[in-house]
Amino acid sequence: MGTGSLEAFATIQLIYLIAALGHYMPLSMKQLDVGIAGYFALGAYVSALLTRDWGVPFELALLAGTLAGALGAVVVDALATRVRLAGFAYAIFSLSFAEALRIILNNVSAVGGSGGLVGIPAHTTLPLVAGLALVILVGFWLFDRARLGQLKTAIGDDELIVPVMGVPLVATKLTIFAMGGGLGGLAGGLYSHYVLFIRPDDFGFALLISLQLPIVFGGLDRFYGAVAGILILGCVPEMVRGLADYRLLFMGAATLAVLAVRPSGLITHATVATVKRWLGLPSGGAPRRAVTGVPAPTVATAAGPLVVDGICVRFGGIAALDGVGMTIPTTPGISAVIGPNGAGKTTFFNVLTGLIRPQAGQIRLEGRDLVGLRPDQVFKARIARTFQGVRLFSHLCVYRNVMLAARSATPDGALARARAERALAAAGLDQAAWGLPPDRLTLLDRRLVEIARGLAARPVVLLLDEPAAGLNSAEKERLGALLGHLAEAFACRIVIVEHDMKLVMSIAETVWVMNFGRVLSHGTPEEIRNDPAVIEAYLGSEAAHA
Amino acid sequence: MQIFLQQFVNGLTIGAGYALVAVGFTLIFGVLRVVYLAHSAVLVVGAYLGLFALDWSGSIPLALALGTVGAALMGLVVERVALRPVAGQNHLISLVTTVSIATVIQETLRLSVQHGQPISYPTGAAAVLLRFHLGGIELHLTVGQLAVMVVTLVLVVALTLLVQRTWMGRSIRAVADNPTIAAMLGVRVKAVSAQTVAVASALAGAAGVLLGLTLPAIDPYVGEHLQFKALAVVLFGGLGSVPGAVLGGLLLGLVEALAAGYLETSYRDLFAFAAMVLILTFRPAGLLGRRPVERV
Amino acid sequence: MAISRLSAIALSCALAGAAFQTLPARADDLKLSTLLPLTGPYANYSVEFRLGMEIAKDEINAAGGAGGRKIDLAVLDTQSNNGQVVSLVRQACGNSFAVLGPSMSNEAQVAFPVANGLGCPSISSSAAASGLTDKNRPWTFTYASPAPIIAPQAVELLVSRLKAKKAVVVVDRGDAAANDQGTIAERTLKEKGVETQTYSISASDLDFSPVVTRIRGQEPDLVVLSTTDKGALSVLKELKRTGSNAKVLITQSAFTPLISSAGAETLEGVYRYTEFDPTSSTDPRVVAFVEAFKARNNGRAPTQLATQAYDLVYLVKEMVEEGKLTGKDQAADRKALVDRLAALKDWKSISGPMSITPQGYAVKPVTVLVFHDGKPQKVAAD
Repeated sequence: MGTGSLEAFATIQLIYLIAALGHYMPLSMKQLDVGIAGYFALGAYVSALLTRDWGVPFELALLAGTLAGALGAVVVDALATRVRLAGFAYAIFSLSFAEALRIILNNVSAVGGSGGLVGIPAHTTLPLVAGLALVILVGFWLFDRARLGQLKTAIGDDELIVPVMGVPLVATKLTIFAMGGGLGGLAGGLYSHYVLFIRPDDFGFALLISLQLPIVFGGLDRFYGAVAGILILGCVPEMVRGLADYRLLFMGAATLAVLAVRPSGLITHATVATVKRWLGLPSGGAPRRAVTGVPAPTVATAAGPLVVDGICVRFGGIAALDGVGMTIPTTPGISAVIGPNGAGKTTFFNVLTGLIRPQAGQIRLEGRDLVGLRPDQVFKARIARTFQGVRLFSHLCVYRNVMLAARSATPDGALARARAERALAAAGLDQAAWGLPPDRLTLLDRRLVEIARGLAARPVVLLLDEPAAGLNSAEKERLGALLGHLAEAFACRIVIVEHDMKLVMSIAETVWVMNFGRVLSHGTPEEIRNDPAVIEAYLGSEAAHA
Repeated sequence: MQIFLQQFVNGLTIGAGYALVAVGFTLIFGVLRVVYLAHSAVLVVGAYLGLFALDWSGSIPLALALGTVGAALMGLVVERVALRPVAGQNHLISLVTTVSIATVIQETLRLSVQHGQPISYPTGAAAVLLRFHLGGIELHLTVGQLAVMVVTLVLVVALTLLVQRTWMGRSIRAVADNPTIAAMLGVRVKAVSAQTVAVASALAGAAGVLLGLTLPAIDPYVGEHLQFKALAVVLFGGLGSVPGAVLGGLLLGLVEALAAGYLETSYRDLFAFAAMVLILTFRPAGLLGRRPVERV
Repeated sequence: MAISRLSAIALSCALAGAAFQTLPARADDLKLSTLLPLTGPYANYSVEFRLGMEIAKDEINAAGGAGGRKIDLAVLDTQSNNGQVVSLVRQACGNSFAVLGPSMSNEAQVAFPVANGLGCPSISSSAAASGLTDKNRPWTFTYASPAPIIAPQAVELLVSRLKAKKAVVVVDRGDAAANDQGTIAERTLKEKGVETQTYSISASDLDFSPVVTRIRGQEPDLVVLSTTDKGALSVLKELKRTGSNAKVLITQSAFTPLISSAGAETLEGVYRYTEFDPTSSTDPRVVAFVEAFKARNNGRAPTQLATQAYDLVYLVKEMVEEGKLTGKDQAADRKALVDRLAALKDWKSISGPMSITPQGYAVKPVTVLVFHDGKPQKVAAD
C-alpha cells in the first residue's frame, strides 16, 4: 500500500472509529438504539449542504452536523421512551428511523435524491481526523471517571433502580443518547467532506453492520473494546490480500465465533482489571489516602412524621394494597413492617419510593404529597431504600456505588465524598474493600454497602427491604447492633421489612403488621406479639384462640 | 369501482405475503424473546431450494415442500449456532449473532450460486392469469398471486391449529408465557426454542418460494427489504401476537396497494414505518399485543 | 465446534487463494488497476465488468502484450463502499500506470476528483452520471455516454415512429441511473408534445399489479420503463398478462441479461435502446467475444457493460502501442495517453465507432432494438 492510500485508509478508519464510539454510547447502556447510520447521514448531509450551498465555514458546518446527529438521536429516543418501548422493540424502532431517513433522502431531489450530493468541498484531512479522534478518546477516558460516565455504567447494570438513587433517568439517558448521536453526526460531517460525494445508499444497513459488529466483537464493557474491534475487524482484512471475496463471510463468521464463546466480547471489565493489575495501576475509584474519622456534618431533620394515608394499589383484579395507612416517625430510630409473604410489604415500599403509582391515597411529608412524584424526586425528598436481594451496580466499585447516591443528594463534590466515606466507615467496611467490585464481597458486606449507599444521601427515612435475608445468626446479630447505632449517628428513621422475628423484636421500637394488603396491627413489639389478629395471620386461627 | 376492487385484491395478495413472513417473526419474538434478524436469510434459502426443485422436477408443490422443509432445517441450524450459545444474554448479542449468521448464509449463497447474479424461476403455471366475475365486475389474479393467498391461509391456519391443539403448541405457549415456570413444569425449553424457530422458518421458506414464483428473479438479498417491513408489521401488530401479525400484514398490504393505485408518491415504502410510529404512539403494545408487567 | 471449523475453512480458502495470486511481475509490465464492487450489495454488477476486462487482457497477453509489454490488471474490491474507494483509488494511482474505472457511476463520482488531483489517468467503462468527467479534466474519461445524450435520441425516434400521443414513464427513484434516465425521458416526451404521466415503483415492491392497473387506466401508446431490471421485467410481464396493447420501451440501465432471458412471448414487440447490443451483432470479433464470455459465465450472454470493458482494455493497448509508451517515464507516458484519448475520433471498437468529446465522455450512435421471436433487431431511424 502506498503512502497516499495508507493515509486515505487511516482517515476513513478513524472516521468509522468516531462513529463506532457514537454507537457504543447507547449500546454500553444496554439501550438498543441502532439508528447510528441515520445520525451519521444527518451529519453528512447537513454539513455538506451548509458548506456547498450556503458557504458556511467548515468548522461551523461540522458543528451543525454534530448537532443534527444529536438532535436525531434525541428525537428517536424521546419518542421511543415516551412509548415505553423495551428491548427489541426499541431496536426495530431506531432501525426503522434510519431506514425511513434513507428513503426520504432518496426521494427529495433538493438534496440530490438517489443520485446523491456531488461537489462537496474538501476539508477533511488526516491530521484533523486524527486530532479529533485523540481528543474524543481522551474525552471517553475522562467521561468514564465523571459522574455521567458512572451513571451510564449504572444504567447498563440495573436501569430500574437508577432513578431510586436520585437520578432523573430520562434526562440522563437522553443526554447520553445525544452524545452518541452527536459523535455519529460529527463522523458523518467528516466523511462527507472527505469522500466529497454522498448518497442515501451509503447510509444503509451495511454501514450499521460495519460499525456494530466490530464494537460488539471488541466488547461493550469499556470503550477500549470499540477501538480494538475496529482495529481488528476493520484493518486486518486489508492486510490479507486475496481475502477480498470472502471478507464479509469472514467478518460474519468471526463475530459469530467470538460471541458464541465469549458473549461480552474480547475486552471486558475483567480484562481491563487484569491489565491494570499487571501494570500496577490502581483500579476502581476509591480514594487512596487513608480516611480518618470524619466529623458528622449536620443536616436538617424533618419537621413531622411521614404520613401514609389510604394507599390502594390494584394489579388487574387483585388488590395488592387495600387502604394502607401508617404514621412513620422521622425521629432517629428503627421501625419494622412485618407480615406473611404476599402481604404487600415490598409493594408498599415501591409505592413509597415512587416506583409504583397508587390508584388512591396520599403520602405526606412536611406538608407535601409525594404521590405521583418520580423516584428521583422522592429521593430528593429524602427517602432512600435498599432492595430485596442486593442490588448494587456490579460494574462500579463499592466506593462509586455509594458516591452515586451521595452525589445525587448534593452537587457539592467534597461534601458528597465526605458523606460517602463516613457512611462506609460507619457501616464497618474496611477501606481496603472500597475499591473492590461488589461481587468480591460477602453477602453481609454487600448488604452493608447498600445500606451505606442509602445513608450517604442523608435521608430522613431509610427503607431496608429484608436486610437480614440469607445471613447466619452471627451476621444477623452484627447487623442488628449496627442498625441501631447507624440510626442514631445519621439521625434518620430506619424502616425495615423483615421475616426474622427475633431480629425485629430486638431492635424495632414500633412495628406494623400487614396482611392481604392491609395494616392489621400496630404497636411496640410486645403489643403485637400478643395481638390475636397477628397470631392468626401467622399461625392460623386455632393458634390465635389457643 | 372495478379499479378499487382490483387494487383491493392486489393489496390482499401483497398483505398475505407480509403476513406469512411476519407471523414466523412474531412467533420467534414472542417465544424466544430475542432480536432475530436471520429470517430474511432463511427465506432466501427456501427460495433457492424451491428454484432447484422446480428446475429439476417442474412441480410447484414439490418446490414448496422442499423450500419449506429446507428452510426449517436451516432454521434449526441458525438456532443452534447463533441463538443457543448466547441464550439469556442481552438482546444486542442476539441481534449481532443473527445478523452475522445471516451474512454468512447470504455470502455463501452468493459465492456458490451464479456469483450472486439474479436467477429466475422457470415460468409457467404461475404466470397464468385467472379471471373472476364478482357481481358483474371482472377481477383478475395470477395463479402465483392466488398461490400466495392460499398458501398463507393454509399455513397460518395450520400454525394456529398447531399452537392451540397440539402438545408441541402447548409447550410453545407455555414458554411464551413464562419460560421459568414452563421449565419447572418439565417443558424442555431448549427443544421448544428450536421447534419454534423451525416452524417459523418453514413459513419463511414457503414465503421464499412464493416470492420466487411471483418476482422475476431472486438473488441472495431478496429477503432484506421484506424483513424490514415485516419487522414493522410485527411491532405494530403486537409482538408475539400471531393474529396481530396477520392483521398488520394484511393492513399494510392494502394500504400500500391503494396508495400505489391512487397516490403518486415514491414515499410508499415509508407507510410501514409511519404506520408503526402512529400505531405505537397510541397503542404501545401494538394492535393486538399485550404489555408485559415489569416487577421490581 | 461447527462455527470455528467454518471460520477455519473460510480462512484456509482465503489464504490458498492469496497464494495463487502472487505471480511474478516484470518491471516493464503494463500495470493497470480496476476498482469494482466485488463484495457487498452491488457485487453482481461487477461480474460483467471484470470478465470483459479479463478476457481482453488474456487475449492481448496471449498475442504478445501491448507493444510487447504484458498487461498486469489488479482488481481492487471497493466492497460497494464509497469510503473504500478513496483509499483504493490512491493505491491504484500509486501502483499503476492508469486506472480502468471505477465502472460504477457512484464510485467514479468519488474516485475521479482524487485521480484528477493526482494526475493519474482514469477511464471508466460505463460510468454515465451527468457532469462526471466535465468537472475532472484533463485526467478522467468515461467510455459511456451520459443519459442526456442517448436517452432523448431513442425516445424521439420512437415517438415519431409510433406517432405516440399518450405515454407513461415508470421510474424507480431509488436507483440513480434509472431516476436520471426516467427524468430525461419524461422531459423529452413532454417537449415532443406527448401527454405524459409518471408513476414510480420501488425496488422493494413485491407486487406490481397496483401500478399496472393504473397504467392500463391511462391507455397509453408508449410505456417507458426506467427502473431496475427486476422492476422492468415485473411490470412488463404484468402488462402482457393483463392484455395491454401499449408499446414498451426499456431504458439502457434497466436492461440486463435477466430481461433477455424472459422468453420470446414476453419480449415480443418490446423496444430497448442501448449504446451497443453484442448479441445482435454479426461482427466476428463480437461473436467471438460473446462466446468467450458465455464460456466463463455459465452460458449467460454479455451486455454492453461487458463489451465496453473489453473495448477499454483494447483501447489502452492501442494508445500504448501508437504512442510507443515504454513505461520508462511514467509522467510523460500518462500525459501522452491522456492527450491521445482526448483527441480520439471514430475509433473502431467492437461496439462500433466512438469518439471522445472535450468533456471527456464518449459519443456513439444509439441503437434502438425491437424484439421479434425472441431476437433483437435494429430499428432504423426514419
